[in-house]
Amino acid sequence: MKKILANNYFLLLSRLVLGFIFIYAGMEKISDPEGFARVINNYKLLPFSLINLFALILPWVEVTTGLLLLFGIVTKENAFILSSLLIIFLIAIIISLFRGLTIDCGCFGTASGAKVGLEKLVENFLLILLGIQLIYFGGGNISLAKEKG
Amino acid sequence: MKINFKVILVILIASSLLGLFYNYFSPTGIPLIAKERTLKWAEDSLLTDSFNEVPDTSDFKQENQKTNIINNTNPDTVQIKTDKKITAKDKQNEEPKKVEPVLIEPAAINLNQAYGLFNQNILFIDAREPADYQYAHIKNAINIPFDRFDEYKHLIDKIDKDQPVITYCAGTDCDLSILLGNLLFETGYKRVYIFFGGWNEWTEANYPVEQGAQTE
Repeated sequence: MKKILANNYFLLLSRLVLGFIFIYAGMEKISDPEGFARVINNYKLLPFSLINLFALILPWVEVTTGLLLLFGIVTKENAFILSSLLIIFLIAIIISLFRGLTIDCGCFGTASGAKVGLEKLVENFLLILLGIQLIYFGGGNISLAKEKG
Repeated sequence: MKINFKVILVILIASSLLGLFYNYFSPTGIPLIAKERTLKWAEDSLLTDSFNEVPDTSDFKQENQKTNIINNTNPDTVQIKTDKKITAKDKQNEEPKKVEPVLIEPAAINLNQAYGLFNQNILFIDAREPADYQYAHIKNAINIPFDRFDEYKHLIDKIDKDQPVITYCAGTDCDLSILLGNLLFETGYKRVYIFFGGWNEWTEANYPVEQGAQTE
């Protein structure tokens, strides 16, 4: 099992999947910061004054880490950041589900219109698994920067 | 699995700076700290003024059934509703006194005010999703879901910009009514009222509702 998970091609695939998803998600949010701020506001989790700042920074973190992951530069650290983000998203979704909010997920910006729901929960969970794999085994050999550990 | 937290910090700081830098130059940039929109509650006098103006709307071309309802506002019924003094005054002047209530932003109205305006056949706009609207909505309200504003643009174009409109959504928890109200105001509607209590307050008060999808 460990051998499969640590397989260079498998690691490459995980990196590509996570990387592309985050780049795409980030770019969608960057294109409409106002809309994304509104989406965050709907979650009613952040204080109002922090919402815009969050809406501006988060997508860029997603895009930069996504890009670095794609090229396999400092993979473990990037995978760590992305997994942390995913866990935060997961918690936000769970809280919203418990509160019974039917709000836009905003996962891929405002355009997709997907609602918060179980589907998103599963999606998030699967991505976290990929993230954990990368944190554990690094980016593999097929990357720009070779991992030491 | 050694994770270098310094690297993480560098990545986070770098991307944050990138984000702020981009926002500074971006045409769609937003302020770093959002200004909380404080809804101003409409004074009753402001609404009474707009009652006086209602008869003017009867001049508008009746384009479709929905606007029909609004335009049907009969000067007589309006005068019954408004203060007797005003009616007398109007008769003296022989033309309705035209008071332009100047709103610098959409004004919030409470349940009583909303019901008053409802009785004047002022147009209510439901900002919720079509499914919610179809399930039930305020009687004679039209549906313009804020999230699909563009799809419903043809409906909006039929509403005269001088006529008062009232937006509402589910209740105090939702901000669709405020968002739609602001958007309409920016589009050029001069008298936009936001019924902040929305659907919840309306149904609690057992005021008239109806069911069914929007017929365009």
